[in-house]
Amino acid sequence: MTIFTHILQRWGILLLLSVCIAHPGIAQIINFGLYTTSNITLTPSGTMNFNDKQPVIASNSNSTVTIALSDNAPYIEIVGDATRDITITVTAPSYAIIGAGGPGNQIPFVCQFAYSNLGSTTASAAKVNAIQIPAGFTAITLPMLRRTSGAPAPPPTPAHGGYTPPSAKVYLFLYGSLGPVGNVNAGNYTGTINVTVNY
Amino acid sequence: MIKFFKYLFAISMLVACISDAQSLKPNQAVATITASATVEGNVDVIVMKDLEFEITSLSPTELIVDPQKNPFSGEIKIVGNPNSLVRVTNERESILRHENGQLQLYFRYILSGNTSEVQRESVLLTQNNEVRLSDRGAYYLWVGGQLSGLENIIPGNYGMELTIEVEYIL
Repeated sequence: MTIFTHILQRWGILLLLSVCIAHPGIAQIINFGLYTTSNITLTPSGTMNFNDKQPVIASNSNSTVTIALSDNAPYIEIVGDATRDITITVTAPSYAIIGAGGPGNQIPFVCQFAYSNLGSTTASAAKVNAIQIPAGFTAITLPMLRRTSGAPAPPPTPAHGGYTPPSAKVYLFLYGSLGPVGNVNAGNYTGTINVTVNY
Repeated sequence: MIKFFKYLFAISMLVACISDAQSLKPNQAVATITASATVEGNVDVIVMKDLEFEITSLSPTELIVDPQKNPFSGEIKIVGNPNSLVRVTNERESILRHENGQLQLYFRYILSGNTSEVQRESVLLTQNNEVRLSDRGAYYLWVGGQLSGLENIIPGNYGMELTIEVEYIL
């Protein structure tokens, strides 16, 4: 009986170790986002229609149409907890396509984005101080409300019953270029840009 | 044996905690924006009918082929993207040459156009015209003109070419 108990103890320790090895580090993650009660809301506005910039985009013209930040670029209003940081991930396709895409049915597409987290209340005001992210970057982390000067603020009030944290609005502007337009079929080319925001 | 169950309980609790942590996600929101562009195809110009008319010894010194009415007018069809705006540019006049090169006559073009193939309802065009293709992507041109200098005309065949440029208006 003593030997049997001893074997069981060994096997039990081995089993425990194997579970820990199978999930390295997961048990050490403390995700404060799990405990937040505030939500993030995203409100898209506008579309990125390249015909608004150039009414006629002709096939085989080799032209590149660019919607700049200063143009009528679409934007997303991000409303969330003013005391927190957010991570914005922008996922865009490399081509705008018709049908299933492929040669003759796709046009190179580059998507860029800029953000403004200075507490502007309108998109036009936010665009003035928007910070453009260099092409190639797809994710950034930023505070919901950027501190312009002074000492760092005290730690945020922990969530508790009946407490609603102050909210802030971040503007995310999307712009980019389409082209060069090669020998492609006529039609309406589209690409979907996904924006994911989390604390 | 009791110790064994203790270990088993500890393991099950640990596994439960891990699986719980994996199922929960931080607050997250997703939005989509669509990028789009309509690409126009090429615009084509199709000659439906040549401009042909006959000059007889009884003809006056000046001949006019009315593009809106004359059945001998030339006809051209423009095919492109539905409802798109195109610019039609053409020569103002051309030289009509005798087959042996002995004589030249001057022909001043007159064009009329319509979105449907109804010549009588066509409207006169000027030298640089912006016209809108029909919802089927078509526009019809009729080519007539004014021929002068017939006083010294000699019998034979005369020929000329008309160049018309059609382009989308960007």
